[in-house]
Amino acid sequence: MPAPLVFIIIPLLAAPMVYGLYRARGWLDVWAAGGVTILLAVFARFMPFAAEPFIQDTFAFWGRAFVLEAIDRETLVNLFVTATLIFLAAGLNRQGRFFLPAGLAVLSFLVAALSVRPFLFAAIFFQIAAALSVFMLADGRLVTTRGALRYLSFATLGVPFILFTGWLLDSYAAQPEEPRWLAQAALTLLIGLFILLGVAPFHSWLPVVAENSPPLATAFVLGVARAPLVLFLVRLLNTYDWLGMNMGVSTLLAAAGVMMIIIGGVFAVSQRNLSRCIGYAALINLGLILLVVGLEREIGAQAALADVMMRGLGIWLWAAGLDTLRRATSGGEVTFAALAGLGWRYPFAVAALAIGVLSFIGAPLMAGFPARWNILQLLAAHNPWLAVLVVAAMLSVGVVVMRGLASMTTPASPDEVIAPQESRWNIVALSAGMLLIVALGAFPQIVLGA
Amino acid sequence: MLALIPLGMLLLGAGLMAASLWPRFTALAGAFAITSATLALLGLLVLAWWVPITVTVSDWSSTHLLPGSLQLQVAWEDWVLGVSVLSLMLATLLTGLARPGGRRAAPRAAIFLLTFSSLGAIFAHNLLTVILAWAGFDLIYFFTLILLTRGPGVQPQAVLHLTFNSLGTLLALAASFFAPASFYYALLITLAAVFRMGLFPLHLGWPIEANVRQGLGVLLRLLPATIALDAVANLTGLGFAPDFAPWLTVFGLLTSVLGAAQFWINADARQGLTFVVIALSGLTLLAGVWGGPSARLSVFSLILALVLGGGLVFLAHGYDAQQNWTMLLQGIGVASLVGLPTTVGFFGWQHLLLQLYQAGQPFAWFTFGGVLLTLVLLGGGLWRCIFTVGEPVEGGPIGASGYISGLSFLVLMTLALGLAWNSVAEAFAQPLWGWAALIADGNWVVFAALLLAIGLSVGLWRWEGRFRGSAEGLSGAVQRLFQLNWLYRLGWRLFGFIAILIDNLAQVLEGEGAIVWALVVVFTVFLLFAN
Amino acid sequence: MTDVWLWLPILALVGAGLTAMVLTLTVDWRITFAALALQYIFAAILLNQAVAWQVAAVEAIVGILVVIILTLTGRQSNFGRTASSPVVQLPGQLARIGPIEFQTNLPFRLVAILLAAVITWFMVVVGDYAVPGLPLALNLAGVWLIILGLFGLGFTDEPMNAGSALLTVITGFEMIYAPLEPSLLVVALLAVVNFAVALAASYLALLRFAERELAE
Repeated sequence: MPAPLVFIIIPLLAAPMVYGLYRARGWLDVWAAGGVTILLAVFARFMPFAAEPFIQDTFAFWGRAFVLEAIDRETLVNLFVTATLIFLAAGLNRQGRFFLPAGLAVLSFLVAALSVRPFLFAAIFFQIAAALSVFMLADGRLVTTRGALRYLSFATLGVPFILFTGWLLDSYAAQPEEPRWLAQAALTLLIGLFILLGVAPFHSWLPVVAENSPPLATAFVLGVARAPLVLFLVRLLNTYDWLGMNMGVSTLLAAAGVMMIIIGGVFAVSQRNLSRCIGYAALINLGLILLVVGLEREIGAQAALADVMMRGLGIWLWAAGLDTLRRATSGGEVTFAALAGLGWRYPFAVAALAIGVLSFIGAPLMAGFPARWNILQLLAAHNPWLAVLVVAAMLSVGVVVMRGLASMTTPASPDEVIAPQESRWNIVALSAGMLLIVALGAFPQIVLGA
Repeated sequence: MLALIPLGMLLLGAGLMAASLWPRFTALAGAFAITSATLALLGLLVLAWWVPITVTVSDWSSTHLLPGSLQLQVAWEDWVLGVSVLSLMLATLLTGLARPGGRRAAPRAAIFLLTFSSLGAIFAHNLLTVILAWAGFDLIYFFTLILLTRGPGVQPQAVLHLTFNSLGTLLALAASFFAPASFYYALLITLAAVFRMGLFPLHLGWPIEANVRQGLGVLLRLLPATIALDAVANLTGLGFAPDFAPWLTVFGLLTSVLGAAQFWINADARQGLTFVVIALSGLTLLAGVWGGPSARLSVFSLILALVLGGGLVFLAHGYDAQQNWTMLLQGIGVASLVGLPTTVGFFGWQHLLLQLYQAGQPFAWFTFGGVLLTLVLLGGGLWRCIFTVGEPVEGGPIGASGYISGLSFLVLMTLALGLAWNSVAEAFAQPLWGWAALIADGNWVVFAALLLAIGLSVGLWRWEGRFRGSAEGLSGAVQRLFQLNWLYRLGWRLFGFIAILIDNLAQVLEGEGAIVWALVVVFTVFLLFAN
Repeated sequence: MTDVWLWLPILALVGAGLTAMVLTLTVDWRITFAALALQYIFAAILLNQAVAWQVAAVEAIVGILVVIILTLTGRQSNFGRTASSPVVQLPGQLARIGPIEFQTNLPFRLVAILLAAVITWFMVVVGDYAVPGLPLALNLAGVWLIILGLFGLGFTDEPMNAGSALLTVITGFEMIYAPLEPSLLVVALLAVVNFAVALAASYLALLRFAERELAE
């Protein structure tokens, strides 16, 4: 039994089953989807990828191989655990009928992207995953389709560049005396990566998706679907020396990262929308990853992957909190004005939203901080002002959170008392999430291990 | 792990308060609270055998990915400050027995959690631990304000307070990027302390309007100040950059004078703890800037005066004609805050004034005058405060004994530390001082000025009516200057204008034409780098 | 007969170019679908010069199936026309001169086509950016479709038109890439990509149509 096949086929087969359970009582579809992903997370953590003759780490299909390596294990666990949290949160506030099945199918293609060889073909699987994500990002409750369309467009546009790189590399292999093939390959690969990752000017889908899509779907795209992309980048740098050891490429990555951090920080501070600000926070995070990978290839890659691992809980909590709140506003708006005073009726959701965003941007005491601390120390070793720049960007998102809190905690009348209207399960889940985030902020070794 | 015992007791106390929500345990809530607090204090007192102690709470380096670890260290100065904070907490709970009725479990749980996080910040051994402890304290503080306090504008004030403190925390984080001996490290840590202590004009984050149970209200004002001023104390080891000393002096003086003036002007002196904290914060900063080799000791003295003296004055119920002997206890609190000899605050005041006097510069003498003015105004307000009739002591014999024992405990600490100040100085490895030094050389001038100022403060209180009438016009100006609404409105409008510009730019670049813009940029880059 | 086979690629090139222009200029779904269908056929004819006829046939079949998916969606949503708006266009974006109604950004679209022509000519004929080993017609058609598809994507937020533009870009890319990549899996995956984009665009178009109907 090929290990890659397990992680690709099971979610794909589960998707139509979960779709069929949509109207079933007792959240059956949610439990089914969550059960599948938690099972796969357990497999990813404990199942050996190669244990002949029972389990093989390679699966060949039409001339291409799908391989799972040890380095993929943590990313797979992170993928499925974060997906589990998001799927279970979908039970607290019902999502569209396609949310869970599309999510499962996306997971399947993300694993395919992680495991396909040569790596470059991962781009096609990323694109298919993006197309399937559209069914999550536009669920008919929020009336705008702009976010989903923008995401689909950019995800599709990045693919040709990456695929074309494969041909350029083959040309170079046939004519090693022509260095221009390699230079062109580096250029096309970087362009494709920049488009997929959302480097400016290709970043506009991040805030647009965040603003125009359901929070849980946004969390899935920004929290789950980004992790394999980061691993993809790291893998490319490690595999191709002409890319990873190229000083020009490293400088370009670092410069792109700095630009993303500056753009994210500048645009975030002006926001009055708690959805859009998470898009800019994601932009800052991705920029930070590019920066640290560009400056320190190996250690930076490890730091970046650790950073990605700790992000999922924060964005999940943000999404769960915001999803509860937007259902209490007219038209599902999540501007400061629309959310004014809701803290008195939805205190847990408001707290979860704030703590989720703060964890996502790596604020102290939150789960995202330890890995962020590590990256900041790495940057400071190169140039302390780079690290200060990142902290300034974190602060700009923090300002939005504070302004939102000021709006949400100001009561409509002086006599108003706190009267939580969240369901009991909502309260339990959000409280557990907040406690876990704070606990991991102090004890990250629980997740990051030895 | 011994160092964790007091902290563990505090967490246990918070848990017991949650358990007391169960009807079976409601009646025992007070006993649970006092027992836990007492155990925490005893645990810390017993720790004196092993001081200094270092304990690793969370070892991040075990992951091979993350540098650093969370460490707590209890050195002698931390021990003394920790004992004072726990004494304040215990006194709060004891005196709380004299204020029965209303919701108790939640405020008590908040007291435990606030004290827990305060001790974490005081005992933090490295910058990473300080950052996390500050963040933890801010979170607990914010939720306490939002959930348990009432009053107009409390919520925006809570958010402002959280914002300033978080900014301070991030500044400390930024400081960690620079070498500890470097200029930028000292600058950023200084700025962090400035934001956290609410130096003028950042003082508006303090919850002036918060209406809450008396004991919790005292801790809500004193604990954040303690943490911030502890950071100032640690800063004295680095030294304040010479370039910034004048600015810190100016703003420190403004903070202390305006805080003291606002306290004296305030109609209800018993609601003026926030202003006392502001005033003493400014003074403590001045002590740090001008204190010379003994700056740390001087700062420490003022912190203890604030914690113990402030607790004595504001946990008490004011003038009680039935038990007017309790005025003695409150009077010792005032004495400590204004620096009367034999109290814990004396050294701080005396040393600050001495350093300013001996500096020999007009700027220092001006500051000297400002400090004395602060003392007069502060003292006048404090005397008025303790002689204002407050709520009666309730709760029967239990309430009365709790009230007296709580106050007595703080008095004991105040006097013990004051009289044993040489022992404290030894712990700081500072030169011992003697009473003879007070009148040696020209120092008697300073000592006399201090006593005179204290006397004037008594006079200000005694003949308050005469002074208050003539100071009415001035008080309006002071209030306007203190509140600085115009500055904040201006800043907010400027921010709003810039935010609109940025938002419009973002809408243009990321709106419908985003892909076209992306193509334009790509094309431009291509033309620039085509070769 | 032989002349026809010689001229067929040129006709297909012209046809692909014209269909791309039509897709850039129009917002009417019916015209879009027809143009898209023809575009796929012309693309397959052009591809036949460089790949096995089976692969070209697969491309054509996939394209036709994609257009069928889009057409079915169009029929379900009255080709994007609501009771108050016979054309899929936002208010303020239509102008009338006499009996003719056209979009206000029509001149801009015409200029964009001109610009695309210049860029294509520069990249393929003048510059050194043509893919070596491919027939000139494939290079020209591929680049032309990609550029016009990108412009089309930038002009509209409407899912069906944007989806068509995206499919145009993919088609242009396939015309360049398919001869270079012999792997059957990649060909199949690119077909899946086409279907995925078509399905996604259809879904979004239906949602957008439902939103507009609700608003009215």
